[in-house]
Amino acid sequence: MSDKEVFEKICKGDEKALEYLYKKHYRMMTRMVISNSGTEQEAKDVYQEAILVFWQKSISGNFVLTAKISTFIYSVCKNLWRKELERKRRLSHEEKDSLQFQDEDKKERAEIMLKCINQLGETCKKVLMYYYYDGLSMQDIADKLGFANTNTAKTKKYKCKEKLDHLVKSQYSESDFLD
Amino acid sequence: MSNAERVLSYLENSLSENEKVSFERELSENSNLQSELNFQTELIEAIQITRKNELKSLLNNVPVTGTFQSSQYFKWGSVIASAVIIAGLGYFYQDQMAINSENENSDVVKQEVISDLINEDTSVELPEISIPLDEPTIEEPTQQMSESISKAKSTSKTKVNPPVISIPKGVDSDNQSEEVVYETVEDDGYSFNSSAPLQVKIDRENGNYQFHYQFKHDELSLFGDFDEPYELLDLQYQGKRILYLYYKSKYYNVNTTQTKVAPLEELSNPDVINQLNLIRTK
Repeated sequence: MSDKEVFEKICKGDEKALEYLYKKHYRMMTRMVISNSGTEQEAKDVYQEAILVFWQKSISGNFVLTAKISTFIYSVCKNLWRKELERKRRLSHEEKDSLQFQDEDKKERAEIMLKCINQLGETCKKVLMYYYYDGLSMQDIADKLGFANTNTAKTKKYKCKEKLDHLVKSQYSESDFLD
Repeated sequence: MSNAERVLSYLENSLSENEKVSFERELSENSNLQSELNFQTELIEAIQITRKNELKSLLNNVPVTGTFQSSQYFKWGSVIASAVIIAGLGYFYQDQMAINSENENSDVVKQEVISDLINEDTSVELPEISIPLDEPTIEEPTQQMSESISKAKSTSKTKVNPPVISIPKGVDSDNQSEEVVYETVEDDGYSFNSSAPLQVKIDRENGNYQFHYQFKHDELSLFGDFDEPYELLDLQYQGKRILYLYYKSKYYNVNTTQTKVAPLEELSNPDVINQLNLIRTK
């Protein structure tokens, strides 16, 4: 598949094309991280983050590809890894403790939210994920999920979000929402 | 409009500029609105994380070629080459020992060679080859050595699938070869290398380095094309590991303390080169 074909498929949310792209450039991208003090797991994580940046940009329709896909992903990988190396260098013991304290609260809230998201029905989950992560338009969401029109998609999104808000808030007292 | 709806409109960029300014002004005065903003921000992040994790699961199930799989071919090639070299060195030193017992000058010659090697690399002296990993050649050395040499030559010169030789087997062979070499060289004070097999990886994509190397955490990284077979001479003398790379008919020093990427430097000392040639061709 040429870059152009892959890009067009990914813009339409074709996950098979994403898999194809991932496999194609796996070695090159992970080697860059590993040859710069990274482990294989870190390399994999960085590459997945980078390729998903490409996915998000493409599928949301806000991206014009002016270079090879591999060039774009490679530069994202490099930046991500450089930032990670800087972050590791910066983190002192004191910083670690205080950050950890803040992170624990946020982590707990995030865990509850993730649990509630997974309690939603599959359609609700997809509507919200396509909207808030993939950045799909209501028309695209309607097409992908077989809704009659964009109004149906809009209503579905509103109701699913409301349901999720309620699910999460019911698991917290009011005080947990205040800083 | 509820706080939740207002916050979502704000986060989804649905407000006009004026509405946005007014909303932001109100945030500083209305703690409930601020709380709702924090909540909705975290919830949208959680939705994004869920989708990201879903896509990552998809990617994790994609069968990918291991990062250094292609180097496995060369690794096995170098392992087999090392096996031959060890067997060869064993016989070389056996011969040397025989000569030394008949000729008083042989020690002097050996010392010269040792000192040459010392000069070549300040940290090491006469090398001793490490254990072969996977060649069960030691029990009947003469016959099997020739078999293993031809085998190693064929495997080092052509790209073939790595032999199906499990590591435990290689370890057994190692022990056997260790014993043989130890018998021949122990009297001369040479220690024996029992280190783990050398891990090698090749990076052909790094545009910054054309013919470089790095030795870190017992792993040798080679940078450059390396489109032809190479051999690694993994040797040891008096507890110190010495490595030489043989590529396109030249030898290169591989410093085992070189943790930063450095260019490969060609070996120039003719005596050492001759010595290594002898080791290789035996």
